[in-house]
Amino acid sequence: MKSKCAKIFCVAAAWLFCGIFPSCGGGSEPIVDEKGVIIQDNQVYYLDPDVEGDSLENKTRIKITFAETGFGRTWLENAAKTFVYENSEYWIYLDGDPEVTTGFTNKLETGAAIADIYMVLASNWYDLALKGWIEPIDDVYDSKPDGESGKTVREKTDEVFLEYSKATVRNETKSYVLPWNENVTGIVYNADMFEEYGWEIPETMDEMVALCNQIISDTKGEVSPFVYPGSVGGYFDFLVNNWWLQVSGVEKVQEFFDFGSADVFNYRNAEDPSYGKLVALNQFNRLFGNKATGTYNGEEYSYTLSGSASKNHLQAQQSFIRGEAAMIPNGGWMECEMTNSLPDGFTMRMMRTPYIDDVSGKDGQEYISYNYSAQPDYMLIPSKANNIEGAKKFLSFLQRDDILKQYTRDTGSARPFEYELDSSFDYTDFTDDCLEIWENSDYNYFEQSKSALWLNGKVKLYNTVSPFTRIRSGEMTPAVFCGTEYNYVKENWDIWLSEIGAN
Amino acid sequence: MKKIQAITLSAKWKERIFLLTMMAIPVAHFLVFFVYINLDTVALSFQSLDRSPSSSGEYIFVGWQNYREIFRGLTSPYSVFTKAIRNSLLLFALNNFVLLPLGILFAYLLHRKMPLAGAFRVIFYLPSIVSIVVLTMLFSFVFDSTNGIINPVLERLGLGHIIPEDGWLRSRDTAMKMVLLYCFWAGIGGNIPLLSGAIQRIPEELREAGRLDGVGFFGELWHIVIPLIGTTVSTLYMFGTTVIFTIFLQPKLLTGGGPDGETYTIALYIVESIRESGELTMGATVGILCALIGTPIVAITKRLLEKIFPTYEY
Repeated sequence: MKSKCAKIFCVAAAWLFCGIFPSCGGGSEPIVDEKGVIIQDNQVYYLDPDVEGDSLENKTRIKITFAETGFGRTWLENAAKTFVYENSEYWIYLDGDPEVTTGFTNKLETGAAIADIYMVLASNWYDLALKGWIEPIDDVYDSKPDGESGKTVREKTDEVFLEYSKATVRNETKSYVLPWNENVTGIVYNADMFEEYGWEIPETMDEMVALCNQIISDTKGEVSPFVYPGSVGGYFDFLVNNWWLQVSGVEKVQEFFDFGSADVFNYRNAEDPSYGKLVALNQFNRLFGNKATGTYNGEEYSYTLSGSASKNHLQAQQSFIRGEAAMIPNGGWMECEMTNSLPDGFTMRMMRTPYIDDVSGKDGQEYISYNYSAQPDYMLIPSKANNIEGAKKFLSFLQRDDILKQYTRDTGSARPFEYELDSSFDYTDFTDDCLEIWENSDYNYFEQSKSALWLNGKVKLYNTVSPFTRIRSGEMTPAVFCGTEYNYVKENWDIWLSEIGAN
Repeated sequence: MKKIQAITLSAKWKERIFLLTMMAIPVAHFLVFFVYINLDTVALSFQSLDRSPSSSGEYIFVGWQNYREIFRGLTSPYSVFTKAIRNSLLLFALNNFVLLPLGILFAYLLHRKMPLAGAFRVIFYLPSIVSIVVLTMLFSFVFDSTNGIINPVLERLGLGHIIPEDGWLRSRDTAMKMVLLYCFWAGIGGNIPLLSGAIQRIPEELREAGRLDGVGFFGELWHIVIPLIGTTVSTLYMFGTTVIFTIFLQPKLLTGGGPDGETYTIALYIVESIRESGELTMGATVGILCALIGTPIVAITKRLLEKIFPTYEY
């Protein structure tokens, strides 16, 4: 009786396993494009009809783990399809992971389940190069993706980004990363709402403040001029760093980030690098401080949507799309990021960060235009990658003119390389705005520093406390923040230097 | 052809081999995951990553530098670490001086078959068995400025003025209070199953004897129940003490440690300092300090509790 029960149990268990597991790992239907390139289960491959018995087993895999966030995966699928079609000895595995940036360093160290290429969001890669976990890619920079008559990747790369790619390890300076994208940041606005009420795009800060008041009065306080993602850092930098650049210029701002002495935090005179920081924080206070309010019917309304500080980027963007606010500080990725949430007919557009009236254009000069592009996301090859040669070939290929153009078509964003945009392509209004800002800015800039104090985390852009929180709540004025910060840095400077062994 | 002689082992050797085999895995586990990791943590706390241009990325000995940096941070008015210590102590107080006494009271009430005891048992215990990720999301939604249900209710009640402009979880005045409120809500049922079990084991005749002597509801709780479940209370108190050094998921998921570091705890500080810098040395240093401070605290607390709550045989 016992053995009979056991048999029945075994049969039932086997039946259950056979029934359940195949349905779990079912796999997707292959998608074949017009050239015959196949995408199936994150695998991109091309079976050459001219090669007898061509199969995946005959090919070498390139595994790419990438941050599947704002720009999605279409651009990478398209690039991979072209690559495997032209290089049929390879097939590509695309592993999209929105959280890759926080976890990939462990894989670089252990080599377990490692990818051949990582494409991650802005973060500190310098330590990874120091530890020998990433492969130098000078040969990628020296390669000519457009053919022998074309330029090298190095020649095509924007100088600022080229400098960014370098690290000095064992007294040898080499390039370790390839910039992924060059962001455009500014203020995204609800174009339909602007059209409905006839609001003009403000060029200067005075005009912006006037617009905020007008939004409150036209909408009877029902629409806030701004919403922002307060629980996610960085979004205020898009505006504040731009204003700082307008006041101090690229050289002074870079002088700040070189951290030559504590005096880079001096804010008292117009020539001091941090003077622009003070002015920029004052502009922030005008739009987001606790006194940044407009009135309607005798009642005061804040320029910012209540509760913005507790919203993450997606919640804030949803509020914007729902029409609770007319504008949001954001970047060129927002349209792509929100594609699936946009209601039919909703039009968002991007405006340049407004100029500070009495700084950039004083004495009748033209305003100097800046695009603060924020630290770039980047691509790298791990030292322990299984297919370094294939990975380098693919990275070089990504800088080919037609692939760069394809990238911009797919993402609405640019990469920091020399290439012509595809003018015949029908970009969205939002992308048109972003590309216009990118192309026509006098400077595209993001902060970078090789200072040991910065790399060791001793000094930051803002020290002591977060200026945005304190200024918004009215606990600190921008001047008090800058003064407190300057004193704090002066007091600790020598200690920090001694801690990093530079004193 | 040479005959192969079978090796025969004595029973004593067989027993030794058996024991060795059985011991090998736990001993290896202990050596790798306890001895090695702890020794490595001590070593890391005296090291720092060499970032000089001639470096090849090795960790170098820096003496007491990491410890000095932490102590310097403690005296800085802008230190997140100081806030982390304050918050960890607040959570310790909440656990041991609010949740534990309430847990005893509710467990006793449930045992005395208060009205709707079954329903309350579920209400108290439910948050303890639901994933913390789900609970924190739910809590955040409830207090969300746009879609949450709390703000409209407060506005209806004419209390709109107490709603913080920056939202409940991002205002510097309310963020830590909200973390404490969450821990209260989610933690109140956590102790009840253990305490209920302990109360049920108390012989009925002891309580009856008390009642015959005229002991009332609270008298029974104070003079009979609490002393007899003392060992369980001590254990829960010890668990409550360790949160000083271990609790981090709640503030991490609710506020991310913000705003301005207001909701950091010691454990969150360790996690974030490693995550942000990708470097283990400062995390290791804080960990060693916690062990140095925490071990005597836990040991002394244990001794005291053994005196306050002696073990009774019944």
